[in-house]
Amino acid sequence: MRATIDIWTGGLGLLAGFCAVAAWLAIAGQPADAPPPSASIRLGALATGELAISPLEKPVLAAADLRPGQAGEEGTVTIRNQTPRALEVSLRTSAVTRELDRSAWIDVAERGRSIVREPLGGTRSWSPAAVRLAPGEKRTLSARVWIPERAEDGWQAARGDAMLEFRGKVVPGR
Amino acid sequence: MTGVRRLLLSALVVGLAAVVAGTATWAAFSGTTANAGNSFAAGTVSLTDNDGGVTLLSLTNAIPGETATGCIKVTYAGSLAADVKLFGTASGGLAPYLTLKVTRGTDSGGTFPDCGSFTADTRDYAGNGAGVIYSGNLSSFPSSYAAGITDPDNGTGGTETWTTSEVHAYKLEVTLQNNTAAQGQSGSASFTWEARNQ
Repeated sequence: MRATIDIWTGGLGLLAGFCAVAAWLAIAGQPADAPPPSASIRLGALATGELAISPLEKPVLAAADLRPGQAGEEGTVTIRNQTPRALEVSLRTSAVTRELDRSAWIDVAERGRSIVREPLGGTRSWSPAAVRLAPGEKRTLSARVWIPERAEDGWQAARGDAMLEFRGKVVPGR
Repeated sequence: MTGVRRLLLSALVVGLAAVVAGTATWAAFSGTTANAGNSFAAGTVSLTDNDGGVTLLSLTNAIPGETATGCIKVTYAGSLAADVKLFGTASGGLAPYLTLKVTRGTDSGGTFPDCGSFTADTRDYAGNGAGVIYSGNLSSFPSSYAAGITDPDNGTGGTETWTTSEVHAYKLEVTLQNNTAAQGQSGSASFTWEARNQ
């Protein structure tokens, strides 16, 4: 009987000790005012001969505190056909840094219609969807970058810098 | 349990502990370090224009003094700093009787080959007027990169260094000279802007 009580007492004491140590680590390990982790992104646009693109001197969008589940960051880019022929314009991104390729999504749309809407890393090839521009015609595209709520780890303190590239193909016969 | 058995059991436990400790100790003598994820990428040199495959200049059934004018925008999309030169080819019996003037500048808007938004550079590069980088016979226009016209810097007068997303515009004017020998002649020309990294 005494041995059983001793065993139980010892076990409870050990458990209490573990709990105390765990609580101390949890409290002492976090600074009182530590900010939650976030990601940063900067999306620019690259010039091309057949299109006048704006902005070029500054990013289309830039954010330093992206977190999963938030709306993300938005921007606009204007493209104008400066050739004498009608163009089918497609786009892709080129990576400066690839840390957010799997975590962040990008949506580039024209008049509410998405040209691309997928993980950032999936936009390295020319988009199948295109914007058709008559000679001299211009359009303003919206761009949004966000991290989905259930993004896999790796976005914390990550930096995703990319450039939007546009390509205008002459529409035959126009 | 007898004392001997207890002793043997203790020895077994100590022995097992020693084996485990020894194994862990041998493992502590090895270690590795690595540097993974190395990547290599070359820079790019890329020059494009806004002509959409359409010709810039055309003179048809021209009379002496008639001029054809066109503007073209050249855009650099490469990642490496580059020098750009302009040269071309001219052929046909009319080329010696055509005067070509090339003016460098900017174009704030417009569509190829309109010059309505063209503004010449302020610097008089060669004594032929603001922004003019060539003025002479079409047949004398440089025909190779080596002899080509080095794109100049409006600010310094030296060589322009082209960087990513840099854009410049060029106004080309071709005038038929007043020369009887030009009658009935024809000709053609192409103009090339070439970038080479520094």
